[in-house]
Amino acid sequence: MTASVPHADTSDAPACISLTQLGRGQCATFYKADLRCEDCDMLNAMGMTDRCQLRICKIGDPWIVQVKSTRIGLSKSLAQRIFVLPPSIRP
Amino acid sequence: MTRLSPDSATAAAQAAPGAARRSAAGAARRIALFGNPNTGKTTLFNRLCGLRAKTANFPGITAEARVGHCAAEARGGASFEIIDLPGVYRLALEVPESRVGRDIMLGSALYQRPDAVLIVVDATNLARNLFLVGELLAHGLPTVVALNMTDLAQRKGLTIDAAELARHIGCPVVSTVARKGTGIPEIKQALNREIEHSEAIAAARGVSPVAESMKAIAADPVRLEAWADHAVAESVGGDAAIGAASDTFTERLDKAFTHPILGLLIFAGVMAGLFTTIFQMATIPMDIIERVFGAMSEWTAAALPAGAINDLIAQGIISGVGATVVFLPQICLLFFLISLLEDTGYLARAAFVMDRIMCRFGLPGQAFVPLLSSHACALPGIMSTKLIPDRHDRLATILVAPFMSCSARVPVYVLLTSMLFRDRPWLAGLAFFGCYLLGAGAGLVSALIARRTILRGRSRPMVLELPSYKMPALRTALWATFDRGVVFLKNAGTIILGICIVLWWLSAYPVAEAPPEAVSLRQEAAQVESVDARRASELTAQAKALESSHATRQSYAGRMGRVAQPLFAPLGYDWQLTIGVLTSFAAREVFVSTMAVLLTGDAEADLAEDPGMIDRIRAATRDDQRTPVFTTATSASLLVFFVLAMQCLPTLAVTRRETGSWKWAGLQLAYMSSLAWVAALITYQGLHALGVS
Repeated sequence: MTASVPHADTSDAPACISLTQLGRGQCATFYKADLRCEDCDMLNAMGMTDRCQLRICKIGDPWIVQVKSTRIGLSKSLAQRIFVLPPSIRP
Repeated sequence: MTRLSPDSATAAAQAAPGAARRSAAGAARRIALFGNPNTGKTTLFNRLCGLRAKTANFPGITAEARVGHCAAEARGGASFEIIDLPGVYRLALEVPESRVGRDIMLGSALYQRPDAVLIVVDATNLARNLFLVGELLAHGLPTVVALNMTDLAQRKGLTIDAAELARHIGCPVVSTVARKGTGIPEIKQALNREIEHSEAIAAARGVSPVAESMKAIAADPVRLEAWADHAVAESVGGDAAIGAASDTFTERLDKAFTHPILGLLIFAGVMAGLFTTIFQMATIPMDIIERVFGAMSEWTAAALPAGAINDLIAQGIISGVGATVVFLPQICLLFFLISLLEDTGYLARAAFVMDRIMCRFGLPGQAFVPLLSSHACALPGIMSTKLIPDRHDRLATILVAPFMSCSARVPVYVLLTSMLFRDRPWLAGLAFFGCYLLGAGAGLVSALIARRTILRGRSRPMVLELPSYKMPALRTALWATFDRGVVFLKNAGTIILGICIVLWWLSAYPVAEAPPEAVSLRQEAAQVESVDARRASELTAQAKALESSHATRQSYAGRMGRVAQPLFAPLGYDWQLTIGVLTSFAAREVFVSTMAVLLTGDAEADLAEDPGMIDRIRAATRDDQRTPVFTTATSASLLVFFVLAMQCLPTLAVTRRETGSWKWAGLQLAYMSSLAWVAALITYQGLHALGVS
């Protein structure tokens, strides 16, 4: 993974959860994406950058998240591999 | 079609700033138009260039660009040649569109460096759009930013200070509303000013300070993001300036449109409406085109002296091109409606709905519309694959689109299912439906095979920006329709025209002498004409039928049929069926008329208007005068062959154009023909083994 975020795996951040564990309307901080580099780069280019705030607009395939003014649709397989810090945990 | 290839300038000249060189030559300034997807970039391009644009193909990739010309705003000012590049989020991404952008900015590979850059940014989504601006500014070319959709931004409560934004990013910012044409003169003026300013810096051997500082920032994603956020924070005000305000209307629509069941039903309804509209509305112009070309052919035949030139123009060129141009209304309507749908923002949602199904076959959700429209005709289907962003996904879709049962197959299906199930219409209907299923199934399985072999590699995971819902722009849709229509007509007037001439020549030459039976029938008709005109007419018709049948048998295509017959013998085809298969290589529906000519001598066969024609074809026998030409096993084998075979040269020509290479068209032909041959062989031999003759 992680072209954009310097964390090797999920074990070093026990508080981070998969994006799919969030409910509709919840906000979180993007932590890392367990994806290939080119996919990370694409997410990054679409605005999902290191520690950005995102909001869950819709759950279920596709997951729809809003980052700043961009609404991004994510297939289930992709959403499961995106990890976020829940609202109560801020870096 | 144009390719974005280099002019004769040397590589050194390409890499040098081109403004001075072009200015001296009095040529138009070359402007590269960049922007993120969904920023209204193409709408702005259309506003700048109008109809003075043509579609260009990038060497080596399937992406297209449009190149247009734009007049100077003031007298004496330079005009512009604008290249509308594919939408990209970042130049640094490893996707073909970004690679093209990088090559153009560096003047490397086959591209010429532009004189200036125009970047379209979405005013409602400024921070993310500024990533691309930062990367482009680092290249040091004169740059102007078009701050588009400022009306939408105002409605969302955003206030953007363009002057302040310009100060922070270091280049002019012009507020625009491309849909309304607002800000167009200001963009031209700003481009001219920036180019002149850049020339002055270059003359003083200076270096743009903005480019110098941006090089370091653009190289570091964290700094680039901070730079963009800072520019937004300093120039944008309002509640939704940086945050992510919710939009309940959009969220409700998204929930419905992407729902696993409701979304599928809505999509089915939209597609049903789309294709019903296309079929209903296209009928009248298609009829008119057919009549116009028919009248032109008749008029030419009557006006020119009889002979080879007359035949070539009337039958070869006019009839052949007319048979392709007749699909123009369907193509225009399809692109008009798709453009409207795309503009509303709905298609991005629909792609997710279909992705759940299509991904099982290695295809993305965006492949559904091209495959569905291929059921009308593979030509618009293949042309509409431009909706698919990934090159491998797009190639796979193009390769399998001709498997979908198009309207040209319908007359063949009617003939063969009638042969198979005489007086059992429900079985004939079932077989007809089975043909559609077999074609679609073969296409999807072939796509899966292609993605696991020649087009190996992961598809881009389904991640899409979901644009805001908005009313579609009629003008944009009309421009898109005009553009695709021109591309199609150019194709029809070049490659397809050539193909038509060759195939006409093969089936019309050498001109055969009339057979003795026909000569005697005509003599008999001449003798009885004065006493029994009706009988004379019947005898003349019989003579014509014999002459047509004899001419087809003696033509080069007929001779090729006899030579190729051993290849088709294992499939149960005699030489007459082999001629039908070979002549239908131009277009599938030609099979019916060839069979009618060969077996009944009636060149004007119409199955719908002459039900007796099927009986006459069914009664035709092979050379042994006993075995029917169409046995049950042969008819089933032919049906399978025509479902799977690539019997359409115009489709091959469009595949070549859309993929940029004959390699893919050749592969498509070889694969589909081989598969059709093997499947037809299995059908014929299997039925024989079961005792069905």
